[in-house]
Amino acid sequence: MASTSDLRKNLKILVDNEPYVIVEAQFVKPGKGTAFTKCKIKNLITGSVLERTWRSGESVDLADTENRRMEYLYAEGDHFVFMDQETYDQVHIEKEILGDDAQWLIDNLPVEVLFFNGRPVGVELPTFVELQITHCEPGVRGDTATGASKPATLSTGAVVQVPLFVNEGEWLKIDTRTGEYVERVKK
Amino acid sequence: MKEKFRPARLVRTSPALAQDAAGTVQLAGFSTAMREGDWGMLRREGEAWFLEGPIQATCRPFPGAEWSRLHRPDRLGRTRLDALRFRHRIVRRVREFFDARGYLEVETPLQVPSPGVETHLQAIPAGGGYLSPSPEFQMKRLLAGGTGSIYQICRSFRGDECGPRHNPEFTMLEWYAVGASSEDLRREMEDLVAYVQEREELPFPLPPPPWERLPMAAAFARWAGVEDLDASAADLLRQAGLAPREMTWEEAFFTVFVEKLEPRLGEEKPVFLTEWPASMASLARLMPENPTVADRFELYAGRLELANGFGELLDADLQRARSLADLETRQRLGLPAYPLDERFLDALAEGCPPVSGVALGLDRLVMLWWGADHIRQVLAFAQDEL
Repeated sequence: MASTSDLRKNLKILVDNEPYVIVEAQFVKPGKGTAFTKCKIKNLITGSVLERTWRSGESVDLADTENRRMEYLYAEGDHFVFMDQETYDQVHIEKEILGDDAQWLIDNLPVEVLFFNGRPVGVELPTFVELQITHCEPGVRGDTATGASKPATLSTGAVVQVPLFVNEGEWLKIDTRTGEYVERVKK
Repeated sequence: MKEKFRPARLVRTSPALAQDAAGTVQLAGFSTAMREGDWGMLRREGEAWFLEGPIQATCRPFPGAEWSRLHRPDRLGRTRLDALRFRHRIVRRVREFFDARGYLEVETPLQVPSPGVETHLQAIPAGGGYLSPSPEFQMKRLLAGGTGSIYQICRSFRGDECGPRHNPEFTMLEWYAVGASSEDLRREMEDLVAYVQEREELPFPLPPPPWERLPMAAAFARWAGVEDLDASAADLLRQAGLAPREMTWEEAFFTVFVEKLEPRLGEEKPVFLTEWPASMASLARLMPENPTVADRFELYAGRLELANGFGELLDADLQRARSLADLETRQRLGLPAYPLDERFLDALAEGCPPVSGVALGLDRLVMLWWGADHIRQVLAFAQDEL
């Protein structure tokens, strides 16, 4: 339980039995009256954002959440298997939970797994991953004109748009939030 | 270079070149006050570099935290120092306005024996008394003493109120117009805003007055669909389409207010919310023609609560009765009991001329005109910067 004076950015709370993180908290106290805290809260599982207002003195339940550092091991049926980097426990996580993010999974990729009431509910990838191009059309030397791009298939099967000068076999840095090419990396 | 703002020296004026730790850059412009060799701050706009300054000679080339705090540009490219200079201009105009109208400027103590007994007020104890949350009591004692109309620009303190629009220590502009009605005072607020807006260049002027006067009941009807403001707490919530929750009428009132009204108040044009429920009269008299509502008003602009005003209650017995009721509520809620200000009550009993008064959050007015998202942007120091 928390009181309304504890409501601040990044606090994880329980609303309608789902875990939320406070994105924005605003103190309001209109007309010499009761104080309120108006919050923007983000659902930790679905990512949807709501507005909620609490009256001063009301209590708010804290969400039992925990972030654990894990690394990706392998896929098994409908699940991905991750290993806790501290305890070496292995955890099966439904593929659904990762959604499109699954296309960036490579062996030993470090991730943060969000547990809610002891169950894994979310997997956060590092912002950038480095992947090798397994197939793309040959590059055009010296063509660095902006705008022009071509598709490239990566070792995980993901397809991204890359500039024309990029070649098969090269390693790329990808932004996992947008799925966009960032730059070439030397390996 | 990632930083958009860094110190550099003007090495040549034609062509304009500046040099800093990272090398030499060609300038698109520099402050006219600068001479070759002066240090300034490099600012980048797109591909172009500008040098602003000069930085004082005593300042080290790579300024420390204090210098950066005042010189870091906001999203509109303006610095905290710009905001402080802007604030100074505003405060000067405000004084000019009241002085020209024959008001006497007064200064009352900030450390007081009684902070008042309002239910939702948390006073900050100081030296056996409290830091003043409002200069109201002392100013009314002056009025009873026969000062005539007075104004004051002073610090006020309210513990626990902190956020983008609140700082526990803030600046209040409070004035009392002897013989004026609350409507006279609303007109005077419009005049004040118009006076400053006509004379100063403001980044975000308010829409020019006159502004709407909206009785509270009408505001509830317009934005919350509440037709009967006197209904029970549960019914108020229901009328406003909010989920039922266990609360008092006053809590329900403010819940609807915060959820439905506040996001709309002063959205396009500032608005005076008038005729507050009698139970929220505070230090206002009841309306002579309708005692179910109080002669209290608030000015909202851009969803910001800017000012609170009263046709002042001058009946000492009624004031005492209200204060005792407030104290009782505080007790029931387990809040600390504050002493009554007996000398203020004596002053009312002695006789205070008919008067209307208003308290305006000066920081907030500056915020609106400056286009600040956070009150700290218009303060020399916010509380967490001390």
